[in-house]
Amino acid sequence: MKKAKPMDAVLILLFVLVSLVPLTGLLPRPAQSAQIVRVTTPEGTEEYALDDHTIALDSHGYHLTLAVSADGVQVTSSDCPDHTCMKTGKITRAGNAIVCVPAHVRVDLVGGEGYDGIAG
Amino acid sequence: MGSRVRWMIGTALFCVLASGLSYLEFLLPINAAVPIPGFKLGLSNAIVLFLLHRDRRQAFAVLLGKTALTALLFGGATSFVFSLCGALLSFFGMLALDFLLAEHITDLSLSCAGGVLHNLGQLCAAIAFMGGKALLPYATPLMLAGLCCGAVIGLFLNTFSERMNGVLAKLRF
Ligand SMILES: [Zn+2]
Repeated sequence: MKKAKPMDAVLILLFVLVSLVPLTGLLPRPAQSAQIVRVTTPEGTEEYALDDHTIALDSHGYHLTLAVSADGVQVTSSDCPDHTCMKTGKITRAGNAIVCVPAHVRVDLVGGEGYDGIAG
Repeated sequence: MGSRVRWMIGTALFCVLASGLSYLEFLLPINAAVPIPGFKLGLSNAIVLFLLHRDRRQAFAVLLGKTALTALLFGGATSFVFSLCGALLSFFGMLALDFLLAEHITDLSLSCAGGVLHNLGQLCAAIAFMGGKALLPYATPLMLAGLCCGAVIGLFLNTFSERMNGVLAKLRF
């Protein structure tokens, strides 16, 4: 009959910690700072800086209002039938997008120029 | 009986015994109790670890034999690759720990290492084969479950290894 040794406890603690490591892969990625709001409509693409202002959009017969702030953008009002764009809420990370299918509008948050290569 | 023949017979018997334990696991409704896909108790690791202290080559032979036999009887080629990865990682992990820290640790932590590494190796193989991170959420539960089973097996070995060695000595193995 052998008795466990202190080093056993140390190792087991270590294994518990190692087991927890994969959880870090599940954490949300640190937000890549978004720099620009890019609004795409059938008429073309416009880019806006991320500061407090609203954008009124008329596209494909619908009217949308975008509220831009320093940390992101959201659709605050829309007369599109499904309101999916409004339900998306505020997007805050580069690479995220809001899409309004009925109005043919796409709103993207993009990183600064230095980030474009990795922003995929 | 020549020592080589004795060694081979011993290895074959331990292989059968280890596969029997794997089969026992196969029969138990483990996935009902621990609903993590791919989870196994690893009972047969008790035999591999027990042999590791007696004869490393035999332990390794039993490890390979049992993995192959188990896959042949109730698994497929894919599950063979997965369990082989787990088995190899677990075996060499235990071997390294035993080599480095033999004086300071007992089968308790060796068996825990085996349990964690077996599940880790299996999971890495599955991720490599299937691609993607869909399996990542299972990693921590699998490894912790392997740790718990490893602890139970390790405590068992700490308690009974000497007695089992005594019995084997009487049987002249
Ligand atoms: Zn909409």
